[in-house]
Amino acid sequence: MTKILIADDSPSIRMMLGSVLNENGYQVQDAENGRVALEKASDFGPDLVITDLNMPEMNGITLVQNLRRNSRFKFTPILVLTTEGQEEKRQSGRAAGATGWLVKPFNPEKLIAVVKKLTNR
Amino acid sequence: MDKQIQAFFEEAFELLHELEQLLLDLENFPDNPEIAAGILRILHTLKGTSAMFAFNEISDFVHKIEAIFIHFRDARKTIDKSLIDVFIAAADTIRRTLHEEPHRLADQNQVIVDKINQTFESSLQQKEHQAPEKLVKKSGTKKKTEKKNKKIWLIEFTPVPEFFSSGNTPDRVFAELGDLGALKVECDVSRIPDFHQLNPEKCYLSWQLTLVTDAPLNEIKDVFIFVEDLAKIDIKEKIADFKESSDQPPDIQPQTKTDKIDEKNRVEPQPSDVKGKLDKLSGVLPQDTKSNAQDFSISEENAETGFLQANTEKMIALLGDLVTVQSKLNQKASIHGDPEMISIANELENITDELRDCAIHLSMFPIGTVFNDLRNAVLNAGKGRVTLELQGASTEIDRSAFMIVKTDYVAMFAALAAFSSDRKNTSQNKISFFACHQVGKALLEIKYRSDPDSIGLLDSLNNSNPEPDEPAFSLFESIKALESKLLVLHGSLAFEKQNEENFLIRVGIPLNLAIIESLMVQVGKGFFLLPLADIEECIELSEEDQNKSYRKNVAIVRGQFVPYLHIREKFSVSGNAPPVQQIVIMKLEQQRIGLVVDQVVGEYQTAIKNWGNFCKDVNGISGAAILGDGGIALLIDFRALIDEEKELLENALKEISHGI
Repeated sequence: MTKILIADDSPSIRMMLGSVLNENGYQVQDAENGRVALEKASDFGPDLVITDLNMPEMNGITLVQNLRRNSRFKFTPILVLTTEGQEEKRQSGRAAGATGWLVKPFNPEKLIAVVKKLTNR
Repeated sequence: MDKQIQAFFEEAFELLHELEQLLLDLENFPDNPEIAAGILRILHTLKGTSAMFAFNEISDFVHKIEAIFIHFRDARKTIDKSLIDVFIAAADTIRRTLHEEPHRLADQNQVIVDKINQTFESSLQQKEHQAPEKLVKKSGTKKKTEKKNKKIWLIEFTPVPEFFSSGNTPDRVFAELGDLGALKVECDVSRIPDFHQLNPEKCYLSWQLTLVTDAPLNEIKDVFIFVEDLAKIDIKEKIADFKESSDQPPDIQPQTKTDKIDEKNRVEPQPSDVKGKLDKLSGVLPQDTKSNAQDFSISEENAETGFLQANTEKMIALLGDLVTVQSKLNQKASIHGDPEMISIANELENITDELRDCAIHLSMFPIGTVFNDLRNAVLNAGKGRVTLELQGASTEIDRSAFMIVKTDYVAMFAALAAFSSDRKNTSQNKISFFACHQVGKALLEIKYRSDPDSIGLLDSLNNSNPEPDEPAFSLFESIKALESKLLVLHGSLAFEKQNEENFLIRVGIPLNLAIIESLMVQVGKGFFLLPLADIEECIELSEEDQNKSYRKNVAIVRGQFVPYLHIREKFSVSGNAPPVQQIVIMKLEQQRIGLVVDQVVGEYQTAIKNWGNFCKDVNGISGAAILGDGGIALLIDFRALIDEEKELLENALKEISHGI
């Protein structure tokens, strides 16, 4: 089963993402910020990481940078959640090593389409 | 979803509470950047989550507050108490709206909404150079572009070397394109550096893709959205005659030389089969998409020589060494009788066997995969007037060797078709291709049927070189070009007139590594292998038998004369022959010919290695196999041996016939 790690400081977003992904057959773990996500990644071994950018303690960009430094996650797809018009953030995410992005708001269909795009599953 | 909305409400109220706290803090510490950052984070989260739960009016409203806040922060303007009051009122408006009519900002809040809107507009005017996002409400659904008829798109996709560091992979792109229609993927490996300079984390490949789809251009571009800044992507529509009924990329369509997409050496992923394609690299073959057909052959050859062939040969050489070491280990284990050691040796033997099978799969491919190239060559050059028959598609051929000659081989095919189409009575003309294995090599035969004049013209190529204005000139040139490449490979090319209506071109391509069913025989201390498929029977040959036929090298088997050769004499094997030897009778076309050996050892499934440069001039031996004890057995090239001794065998038959 494809494993997805979600990092977002919003409990409702985490809940919504988790629910949609679970319904579509993905195994999900979530974290409220980048630091917790980084800790969970080691044990969970995600096939895909979805992360928000603005988070307390460790933001999304730093999380991406840290994951890329770890040889285990060097090539793991990482999807950053942005909002419309966050071109600079998107570029920062890319520079840090993000694979792609998803612009909020998005519907479940769009989420699953992008997840499939990045996991081939 | 109700549970999730409930969670959203709880979170939103908590965020609003935090927001109000931070706004009050900001009033006291207006220059504290951490407070400002905290406010922005809350606004951002609130905007995002409300949009996610389709509370679009709230999301838009928060967006305006956020934009005003950013404007004041960036302009280093102090957010005074009056503005903080507006923000706090706005937070209150959001709270009440969530309580009452979450999908619509209530009328009673209109004063605050108007005030925020005014402030927002005014902040926009002051911030001319930083255009804010459009506040158009998102529909949430993408307007579908009207589908058009199927089109052919040529896509050049050249990722930057750091492509993989982003977590992207080309196969995901191909898989997605494959979902849009029929996709053909051709890979250019010419940028791959020398093996020692190769960084496996870098991307040195580029691809030329041909997509047949009714999807509009923007849908195709969407596929590349995550990689557009990581690759050079050039998407062009190919203007071509394309049959609407066909769903396939145009490789089955006749193509001209000017077509950049050549059918050579492609991977053919199907829409549902794009994944797993670069098991792929073994099937991914080079192409210089900028070149014409002739240039391409150079690029292809260089790339193959530098990459596939070199590494395949090295792998096979290492495999040979491994087999030898494993045999030694087996022997030691057997001598020591240590069960643990025997178990380890057996385990290694199994792994070696599997590795050998894998190496064979990697180094071989079925000739049928190039049938399309042959069809296209005949179709284009033969102007549709030449009938083509292809057989032996499953014959496995050495990949690296064939890649070196492929372009010339196809060119020769095309030249023959062109020659044929220019002849009279072309309806009678037919090119038949047949492939099979023969003693350590793959044999590719072209039988050309035509009128006696045409066959006579081709037959004259054996004796004289045609002038450029003569009909067979191009064919002759292509044969010579192919022959020169085959020489390097220790392959062979022969052509001959079979009869008045048939001309045969036979190409032999050595197999670097092949498994054949063989019969092992012993002569003196040496071991030899004969392909089992060519063997008819084995009989004893005593001194008495030899005397009966006056030692004329002919055996009488059930009343029939069978000429034979002594392997001992042929290869100057030292020592004396045993009193009773064995004749292995082999079939060559309609003839039965024997090879005399000391004894028959047994049947073996043998992995054959190419004979290589060192012994390339030894006629009658086409390869070797490593034996279990590390020794080698030589694979006899039966046909070559018989060809060399043809006269001797015929004379022996004549003499014995006359003598009796």
